Amino acid sequence: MATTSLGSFSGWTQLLRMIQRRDRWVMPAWIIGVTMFCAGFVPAMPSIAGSSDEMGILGELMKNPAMVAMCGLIYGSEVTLSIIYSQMMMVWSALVVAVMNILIVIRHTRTDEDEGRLEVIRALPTGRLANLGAVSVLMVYINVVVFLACGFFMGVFNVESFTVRGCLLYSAALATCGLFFAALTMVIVQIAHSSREAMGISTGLLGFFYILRAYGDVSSETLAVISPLGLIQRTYCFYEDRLMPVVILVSLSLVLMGLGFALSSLRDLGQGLLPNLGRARAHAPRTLSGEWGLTWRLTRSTILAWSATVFISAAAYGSVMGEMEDFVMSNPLYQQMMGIGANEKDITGPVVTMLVLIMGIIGTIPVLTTVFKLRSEEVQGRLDYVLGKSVSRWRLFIGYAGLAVIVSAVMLVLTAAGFWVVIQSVMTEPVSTPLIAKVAFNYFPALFAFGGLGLFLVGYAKKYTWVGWTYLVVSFLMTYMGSMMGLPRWAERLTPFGLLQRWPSEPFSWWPWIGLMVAGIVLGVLGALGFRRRDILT
Amino acid sequence: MSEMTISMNGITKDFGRVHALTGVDLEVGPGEIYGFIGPNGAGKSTTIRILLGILKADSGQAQLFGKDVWSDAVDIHQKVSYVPGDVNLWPSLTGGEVIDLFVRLKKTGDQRYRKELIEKFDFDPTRKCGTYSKGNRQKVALIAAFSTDADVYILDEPTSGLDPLMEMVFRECVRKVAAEGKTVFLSSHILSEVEQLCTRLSIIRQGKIVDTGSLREMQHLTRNQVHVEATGDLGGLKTLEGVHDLSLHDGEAEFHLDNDHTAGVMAFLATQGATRLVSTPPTLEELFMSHYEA
Repeated sequence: MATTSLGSFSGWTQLLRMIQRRDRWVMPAWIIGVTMFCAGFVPAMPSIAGSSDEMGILGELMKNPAMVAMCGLIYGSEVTLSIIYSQMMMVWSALVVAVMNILIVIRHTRTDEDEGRLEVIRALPTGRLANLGAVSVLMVYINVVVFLACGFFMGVFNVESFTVRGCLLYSAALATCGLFFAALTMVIVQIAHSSREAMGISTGLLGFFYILRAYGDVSSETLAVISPLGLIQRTYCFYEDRLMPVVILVSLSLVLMGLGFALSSLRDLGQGLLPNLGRARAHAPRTLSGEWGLTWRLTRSTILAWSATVFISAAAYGSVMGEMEDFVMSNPLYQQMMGIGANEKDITGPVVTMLVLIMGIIGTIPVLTTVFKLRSEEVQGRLDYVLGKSVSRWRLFIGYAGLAVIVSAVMLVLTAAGFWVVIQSVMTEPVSTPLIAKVAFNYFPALFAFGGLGLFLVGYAKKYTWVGWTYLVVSFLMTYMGSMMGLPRWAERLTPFGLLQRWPSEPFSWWPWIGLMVAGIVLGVLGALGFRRRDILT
Repeated sequence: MSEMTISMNGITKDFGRVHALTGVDLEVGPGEIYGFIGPNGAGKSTTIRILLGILKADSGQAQLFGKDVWSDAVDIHQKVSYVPGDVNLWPSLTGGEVIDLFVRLKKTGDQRYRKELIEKFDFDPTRKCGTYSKGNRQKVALIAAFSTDADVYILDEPTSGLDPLMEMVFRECVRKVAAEGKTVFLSSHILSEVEQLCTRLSIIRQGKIVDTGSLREMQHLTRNQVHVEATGDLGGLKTLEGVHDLSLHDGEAEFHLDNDHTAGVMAFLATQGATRLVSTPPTLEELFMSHYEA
C-alpha cells in the first residue's frame, strides 16, 4: 500500500497553472457555450408561452409520458414559465454540463497518461497525486464558474416567475450534477485501460442514468432519484426550492474524489484496475478486408449510434404530434416560425416538415463525421499505411463518399420510419404515409450537398473542415430561428436546408432539389480530384 | 536505368518555405540492402514518403521497378512492403486484425510466414492496438511486411522501439529476404545496424545527399587511426605528409593517416624498427560525425 501524505500532492499548483495555460481558449469556450445552453433560452420564454392559455397547453404537452421520459418530471401546483423552463431544459442542460465535465477530466488525466505526458510530469519533482489534485481543484473551479454565470444570466433578464432563489438553485443543481460526473470520471479513469475506454464507460454511465431517470420519472420515483439527473429535478426549482439534492450530490462527489485518489495511488501509471475485456481476436473477420471494409469498420459504431438517436428522437417527436399541433395552433410565434398562414386549418404538413427539417440537420452530423473521418485518419498518420499498400486514392475516397451518401439516405429513412411507427398508433387521424415519405425525400439533397461540401474540404482545403461544421450550425440557426428573428425567406435560402421548398406549405419545386444534388456531385468530384493530387500530410 | 529497383533523380520537395529535399539522387539495385542514414529532420522520411507516392515531388523523377512512384503507385505497391517508423494504429482493432488487414490491402493474399513470424517476434496478436507499446506496434508493421511476398522492403527506422533480441530477429528477416534477391531500403539512425546489414549506403544532411557508396569506399576516402610501437625514433613522423593529430610518447605514436600516403609512412616506419602496428578504419559513426562536424 502506497503511503498517501500531503507530499503526494506537491507541485499541484504549477500543474493547475499549466492546465489553465493549455486550455486558455478551450475552457472559456466551454463555459460560455454551456452557460448559453443552460440560460440562453430564458429571455425567449415569454414569446414561446406568454399567455396563460399557451402555458396551459404547453403544460399539457409536457405531461405526455413521452415528454416526461424525454425531458423530465412534472411538478408544481400551477404552471408558470419558470417551471415549464425547468421541465423542458434542466435534464438536457445537466447532460451538457456532465459531458463537459467528463471530457475535461479525461483530457487532463487519462489522455495525458496515454500520450506519455504524465510520465514526464511524474519524473519531475511532483507528487504522485499532484495531477489528479490539480484536476479536482480545476473541476470545482469550473463548476463554480458555471453556477455563477448560469445563475446570473437566468436572473438578469428579469423574466416573470424566475425568482432569484430559484435561478440560483437551478444553476447550483446543474453545477453539482457536473461536479458529480467529474468526480465519477476521476474514478473511472483509474479503472479503465485507456482514455477511449474511460470515455466509453463514462458516457455509457451518463446514458444509463438518463434512461434510469426516464423510466423512473414515468413509473418509479425511487429509480428516478437514484439517477443524479433525476435527483437534481427533485430540487423542485421555482416551486419548493429544496436544497437537499444539491447537498447529497456535493457529498457524493467528495466521496468519489476520495475514492479516485485512493485508487490512483494503488495502481501503476498506464495500467487499469479492470480486468482486460474485449474480444481477443487474433485474425481479422471477413468483413475487414480492403479499404472499404476498413472504412466501414472505423465508422460503423458512430453511424449506428446516430441511427439509433435519429430513429428514437423521431419516434419521440411522433408521439407528441397531436399535442404539438394544438400547441402550434395556439401560438402565433410558432406558426410564423413554420411559415403557416394565420387562418390555415391543416397544419399537419408544416409540423411534419419542421420535425423532418430538425431531424435532417441532426442527421447531417454523421454525414460530416463520416467524410471528415478520412481527414482525421490522415492527421493520425494512418493513411500512410493504407496508401502504402496497393490501394488507390480514388477508391479510398469513393468509399468514404459512397458511405456518406448512404448515411444521408438512411438518416432520413429512419426519421420517416420513426415518425410513421409511432404516429400510426398515437394519432386518431394518422398522418398519411406518402406525406412523411415525400417530406423526407424533399430534404435528401440538403444532406447530400453537405456531404459534398465535406468531401470538397477534405480534398481541397484540408485545414478548413471546421467550415463544414460552422455552416451546419448556421443552417440550423437560420432555418430554425430565422423567421423568429425576422429574417426574410431569401436569407434562409443561403443554406441547403432553407434553399429547398418547405413542402407542403410551399409548392414543391425540382429546381432547388436538382440544384443541390448537382452542387453535391460537383463538390464531391472536385474534392476527389484535389485528394488525388495533393500530399498526404499529418 | 531501368534495371535499378529504386531510382531517384534530382528530387526536390519544399513545404512552404522549408526546403525538405534538394536534388536527391539515389540508385538501388536488386538484391541490395541499402542504408539511408541521417539525423532527425534531415529528410529521410520525406524521401520515403515520396518513394511511396504519399507525397508528390516538386521536381525530379522517382521510379520503382522503372515505374513512376506517383502515377503507378497502386500497381507498384503490390510488390512493396513498407514499415513506417512511427506506427500509429487503430486503437479499436487488435494486432492480429491489423496484420491481416495490411496483408489484404496489398491484395497479394499470401501470408505464409505469419504464424512463424508471430512466434519469432514473440507477439500477442489478440490485444487491442491501443494497449500496445511502441515496440509492439512496430512488430505489427514488421510482421505484416515480412509475412508477404514483396520485391522491395522500404523500412523507415523500423527498429527504434525494439529490444536487442527482437533487433536480432529483424536482422535475420532482412538477410533472409536479401538472400532471396529482394531489395531492402533501410532508413535508420542506428548506425551499427546499417554497418552490419547494408551493402551500400547514403548519408543525407539537410535534404541533400552528402555521401554515397559502400562502407569500404567511404572508409577509403578518409583516414585510418594508426597506433605504432618502435625501437627507433618516431619523431620523424612530424615531417611526413598525410600524418595528422600526431601524439608521441616514448617509443609509441598515435596518429590519423590519409590512405593515399600509406606507402610513404610505412617505408619510414620500416627504417625505425617498428615492433607493433595497429591500423583501424573509421567506424560508420566516425564517418557520420565527420560529415556533421565539418
